[in-house]
Amino acid sequence: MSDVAPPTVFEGFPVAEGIARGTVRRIEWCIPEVAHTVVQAASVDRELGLFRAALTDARRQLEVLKRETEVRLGPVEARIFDPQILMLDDPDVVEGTERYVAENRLAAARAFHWRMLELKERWSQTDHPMVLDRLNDLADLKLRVLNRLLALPEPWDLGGATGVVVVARDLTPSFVATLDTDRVVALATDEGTRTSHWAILARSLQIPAVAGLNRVSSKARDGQVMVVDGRSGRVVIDPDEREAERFESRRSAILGWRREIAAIAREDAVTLDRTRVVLRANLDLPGEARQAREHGADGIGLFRTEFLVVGRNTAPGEEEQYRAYRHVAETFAGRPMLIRTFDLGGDKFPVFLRAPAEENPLLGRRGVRVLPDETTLFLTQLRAMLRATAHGDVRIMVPLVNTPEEITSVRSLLRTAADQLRREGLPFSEQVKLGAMIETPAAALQARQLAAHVDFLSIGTNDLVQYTLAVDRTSTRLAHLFDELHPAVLRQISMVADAGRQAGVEVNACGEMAARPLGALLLLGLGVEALSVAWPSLLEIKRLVRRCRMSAVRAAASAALHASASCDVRRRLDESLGDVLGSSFRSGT
Amino acid sequence: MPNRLGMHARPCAEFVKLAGGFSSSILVVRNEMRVNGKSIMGVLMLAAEKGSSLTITADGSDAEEAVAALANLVRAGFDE
Repeated sequence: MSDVAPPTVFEGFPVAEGIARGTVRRIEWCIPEVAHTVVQAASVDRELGLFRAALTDARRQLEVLKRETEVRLGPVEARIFDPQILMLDDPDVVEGTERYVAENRLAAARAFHWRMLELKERWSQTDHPMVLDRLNDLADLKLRVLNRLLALPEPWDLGGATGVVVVARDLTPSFVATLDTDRVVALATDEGTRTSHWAILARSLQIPAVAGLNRVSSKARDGQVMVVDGRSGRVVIDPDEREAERFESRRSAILGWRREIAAIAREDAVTLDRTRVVLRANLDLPGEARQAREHGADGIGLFRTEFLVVGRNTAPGEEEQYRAYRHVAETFAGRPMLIRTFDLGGDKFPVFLRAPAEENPLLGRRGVRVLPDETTLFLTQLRAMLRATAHGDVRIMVPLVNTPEEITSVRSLLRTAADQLRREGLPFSEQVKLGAMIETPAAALQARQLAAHVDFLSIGTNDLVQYTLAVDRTSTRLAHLFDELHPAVLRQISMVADAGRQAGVEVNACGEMAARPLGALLLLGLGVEALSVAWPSLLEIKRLVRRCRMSAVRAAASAALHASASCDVRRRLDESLGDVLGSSFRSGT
Repeated sequence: MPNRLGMHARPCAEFVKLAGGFSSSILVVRNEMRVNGKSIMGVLMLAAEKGSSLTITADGSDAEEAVAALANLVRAGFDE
């Protein structure tokens, strides 16, 4: 048959990257119609009971979904379900519905439907995108509760097909969180935005998705072939030969880029003169571990643990911490994971500690200085960290150390934790390594003394620069003075590297400086053995390492040590390493 | 409201969870809008963007503590 339909092209908002071709499967869901039903006065209690049971049921389902999402994607994605869980307890929702049942004798489903409609109306009036996005969460919850009250089947059944492009008017976070990525290749919707909760989940699941497509759900038919380009926002139904070619070339471009990343990721970080450099990743959240590994990290050089405490009103339990640490340790099995104890204080204090305001928080109670007052919090954390040592090479790192006594106090708390675990019969490694972060001039100048008490040192360049130059790194007016190439900074880095070498302990560096080509080369040239950067910078730094000679980098760095000002440092480095720096993805500094 | 993304869903949830821990009744006001600080439905509706200012009032035995803790949470930018 020559009766081929011409392709139909839609343009929408790209909400999750990637490109895919598959078979349309339309999902038609809507908030069910609820008939206006008035019940006998005698049935009011029964309706109230049904409503409460439905709420309990919904809460249980959402808690399960949240837990599963945490395991599958991480804690940030899991918290997407928090607003819905809170809505189930919300006086506006619960008391409002109960009033309609008790006073107007409406059936529970009708009363809830009405109440939610009112709340939706109230929200819609604000006309603010932030609020309108949340209407989708409201719909998700409403559907869940009404389905239970009306005993309706799940509208989300995809059947057994594979290569499915899900097409719908809109989607919900509950649906997307449970999608089988082996079967669903893309999503296309009429409504929704990049900040819809379901879109955030699609990105985490790496399912290409396009939203805001004009009536795609009413025009597409089940079984049609559809191409979804989650980078450009272009969606094509029934692609013809030209569109098919276009799809193939887009796909091979994207695959090519991914292959290049994979290829660099697999290569070793070795200089032209065969010096091996250790490149590790910084981690803010356990969920980033996967990307870090895909980008070829040799381990984790800085795992920040503040995500467990900030914005929370209770201290995190040991099990929750242990699960998070263990997840990362297992992702990097056999490779080091340097995990930092809570770096609280400064401008960040968790609500549950209710810290008194300080005149000058960055010079106040922060880092290891918080420990003496919060031993329970830190003992719990050290227990969780120790338990994670049973699953990988977990090393513990202490922030803002100034004196050996601070290390001794952490060690003694660590011993307490170890004694407890031993008594309880919980497995951990007796050989756990403990390290100090070098973030102040005091610590850098005393690096030799500190090195004698630890198994490794890690230079936190952001704070070291800030405290050396007395320049607030967040101040935009002083940004030009925040200069990591200042000779005073370089000389301290050199002292720390020398101290580490003499004591036979590894010196690691984390911070912005390590992620910039010039800074990375300087750190290596001054004798730092391992660099740790955010995962998106890993490949660029690795490429740089593979293009330089360590002998030249060392010579350039030692020349830079004699510079009188940072412009002089920059000039000397440009002279000797310009060819290497010029070839990096971004330009120098 | 110092944090870049304003009071989007997660900060709203944090706010309501913290507010729920106090026995005082809590009222949050932004421009003309007054909402129950313990209600996610209310707090979400504030749509407080970066730079906007909120007034938090509490009435009850732990009122002062409640206002201090909630203001702290907002000022800390929800630690984002």
